[in-house]
Amino acid sequence: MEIFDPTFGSLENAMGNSSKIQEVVAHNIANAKTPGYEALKFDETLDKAVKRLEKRDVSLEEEMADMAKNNARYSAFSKMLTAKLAVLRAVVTQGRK
Amino acid sequence: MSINRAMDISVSGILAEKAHMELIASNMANINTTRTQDGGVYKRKVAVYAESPLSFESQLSRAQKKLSGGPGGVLVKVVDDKASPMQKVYNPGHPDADVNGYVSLPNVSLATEMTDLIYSSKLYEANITVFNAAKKMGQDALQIQ
Repeated sequence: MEIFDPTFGSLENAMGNSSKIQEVVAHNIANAKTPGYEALKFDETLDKAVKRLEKRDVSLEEEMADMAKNNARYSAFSKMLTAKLAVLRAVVTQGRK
Repeated sequence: MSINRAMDISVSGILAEKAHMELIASNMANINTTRTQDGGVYKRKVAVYAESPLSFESQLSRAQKKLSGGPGGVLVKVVDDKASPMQKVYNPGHPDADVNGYVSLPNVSLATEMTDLIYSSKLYEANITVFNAAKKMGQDALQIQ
């Protein structure tokens, strides 16, 4: 019998991807003044891949917006994991606290 | 751990902006310096930013050889500005005046330095914001129980 259903794995992967997105944003902001630097973008269709945007400068606004969205998602993923673990805990303790 | 790396990248950005602000301070302090240790008039210091490539463990990015090695972030190098001309000021009484009575003053422009300073301090703030976001993500992960 499977105790941890596949959703756990998916949530872990999603959190991993979120932290990669954070890395890409940090890299873009750190290189805001690098001459000739083309901003990186995390490509969610290609798992774990980053692509370089052709001839696009770093836009502080866009990066900050991406980061805010990403943080909210990361928060949501971690809360979902907690909720799923709470269900398991309720089951193994037979509803007793 | 990826969150730690995101934080390291933001720190590299913060340090780069700090280094640039130090150069601006040096330029402003030496705006009238005509004598330096290596002789001659003070030359404006410029910060040159270079990307330190971001690496991911994925096979795809390794195959594309686009992003190989390196922890990611930015590096700063200090270069003397030799291209822009020195300011010539007529002041025959100055000990460093040439035969025609002109003194060479450093190629530092107050307006340029001030705009650079504002841009640098804004980017310093931006890097700190990104750092704090990564920190919050790490704290969220620790809340899973």
